[in-house]
Amino acid sequence: MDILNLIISLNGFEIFWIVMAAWFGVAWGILGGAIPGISPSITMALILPLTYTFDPGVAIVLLAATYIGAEYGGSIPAILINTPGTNAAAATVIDGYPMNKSGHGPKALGISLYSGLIGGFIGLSVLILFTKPLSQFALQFTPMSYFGIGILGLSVIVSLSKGSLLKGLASGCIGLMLASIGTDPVTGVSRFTFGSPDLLEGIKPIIVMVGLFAITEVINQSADPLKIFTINNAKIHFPNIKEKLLLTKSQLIGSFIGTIEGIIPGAGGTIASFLSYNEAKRWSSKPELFGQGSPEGIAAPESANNTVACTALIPVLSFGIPGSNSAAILLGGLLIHGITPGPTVFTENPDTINTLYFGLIMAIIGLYFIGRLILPICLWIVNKPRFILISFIYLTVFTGIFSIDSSHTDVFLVIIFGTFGLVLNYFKFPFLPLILGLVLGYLIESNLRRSLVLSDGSYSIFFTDKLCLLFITMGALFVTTALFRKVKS
Amino acid sequence: MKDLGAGITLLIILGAYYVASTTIQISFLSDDFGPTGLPDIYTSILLIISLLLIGTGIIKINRAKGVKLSSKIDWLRQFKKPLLLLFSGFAYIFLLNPIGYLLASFLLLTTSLFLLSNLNINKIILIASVGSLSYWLIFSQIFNAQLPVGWIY
Repeated sequence: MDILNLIISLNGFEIFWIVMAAWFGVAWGILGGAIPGISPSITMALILPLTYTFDPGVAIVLLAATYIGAEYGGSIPAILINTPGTNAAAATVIDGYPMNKSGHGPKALGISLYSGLIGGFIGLSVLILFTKPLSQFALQFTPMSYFGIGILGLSVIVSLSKGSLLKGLASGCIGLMLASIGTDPVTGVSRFTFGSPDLLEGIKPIIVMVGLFAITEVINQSADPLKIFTINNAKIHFPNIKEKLLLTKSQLIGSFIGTIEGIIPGAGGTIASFLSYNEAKRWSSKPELFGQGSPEGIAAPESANNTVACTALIPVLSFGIPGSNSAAILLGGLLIHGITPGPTVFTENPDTINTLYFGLIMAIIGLYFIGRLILPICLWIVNKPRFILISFIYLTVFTGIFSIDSSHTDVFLVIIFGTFGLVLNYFKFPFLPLILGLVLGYLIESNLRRSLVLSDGSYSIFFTDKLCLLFITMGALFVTTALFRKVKS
Repeated sequence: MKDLGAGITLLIILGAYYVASTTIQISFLSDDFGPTGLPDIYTSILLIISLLLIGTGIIKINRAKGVKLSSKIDWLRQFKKPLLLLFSGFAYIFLLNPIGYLLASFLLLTTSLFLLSNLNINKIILIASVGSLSYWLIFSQIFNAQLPVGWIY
């Protein structure tokens, strides 16, 4: 009702600016998210100086819409060139790229856009209607609960291990090892940095992802460079009613998990995507199609990470706690315009908050139109001869990664991980458990050790914390079910 | 054979990881776990997995005894282009600072197009020039990236 009152009170000129900010933000975000290496936070940081002179409401809408666009944009290269544009899009690669390879790229993009819209609307509804009660839930999270979440995330490795379970576990373990590179989370001692200051902050997951997926794919495809992808037309296939019904279950799973993960500061879209992929597979009537181009395998992670893009605003607005770099930039945007997030923000700045909600509704509507405008162009690009694609993807990867921190080490690491990916590929080690291990490694280690410091070294603290116990039990259940299915098949 | 190779590869990785972990300093502020606690656990887990893989690899090889291996692949012919492309990537990193982003990117595109396509050199140079210039414009002017100008000029 507050939003309706706000719309009625706004004049046409103000509405025009909010809609323009939302749509420009989404378009800018999609562009940034679709380029591997340009993260949502970089895309937002680039646009932040522009907002200084704007009205606070319009400025926040622009930043939040950029975030939503960037989270969606990451799925485009994941589907088309086997390279997740953002960390959260890594799970979309599993079924998106096989679907594209089998000539169904337009359908895969249509499913990802449709699921992104569903996830966005559900996330936005949760944000508008349940911010207050859910923010109380987020406060219950202790280091033990975060550790539990990490273990729950790791349990997905079992179902992500196609073929040999041992190789999947080994891959996950290598990911955890990579996560231990950098500064120790408790003592501050440097580990495995070999004296390089560039490694003190650890290895960014996007570097490993781009190396493993993009470089490995580029090098593999260069053996047969004269082939052309067999996409006959560059028109997006939006799912029909029957397909939409089939996707509903996966989208609801994705949105539910996305809601929970979004309100927990620091949990993020990557864990949500992998967990929802795992759950969608578990609850699917055709789990055998997962990994081979299953529409449900795209719908679940896409709706999850687009839900997170909205629900991640709950801890930012309610407590001023940014759970990610992107949320930190949004928080910075709020502070620049004199809005201090916290429980009182809803009473002290109701107009700005309602403008944000209205802008986000416009952003999600804009996602549909801008997506339909941009996606055919992306399809047209990947319809080019493979040698053109390979050459330009190669340059895009290097330039994108260099742009993160202007670091030669990052570019060097990308190509090292590309070479490592070729070795892993040859021995049939799956990549995704490695990514999961890398993303979760720091979360698990830092919270495990913080918990043990709190309990004076007693492990019983993990069983007395109810949320931790719940997550660990769920993880054990996932592993048992996945193992049972593997043995059965 | 691949399981055996995979197990040996893992042993090499964990060997390198273990050696590097011995150089980690112990802090006076250290908790019970310490900075080497989890790395040691990961090493042990990976050791068990690699030994299991080596074991299954040996069993599979014994089972497959007598089965004729497929004909030899012409490695150099099949992997010439991928290896050269990989090498050009490494060369790009080392050339980036001395000759600058624009020229290094032009050379990378020219090399990869020359390696992978049947296009004539004029077309390759045209595509590489337009491509590298467009990328420079997009990344440095739109995304505000600090791309190297090159110190040889």
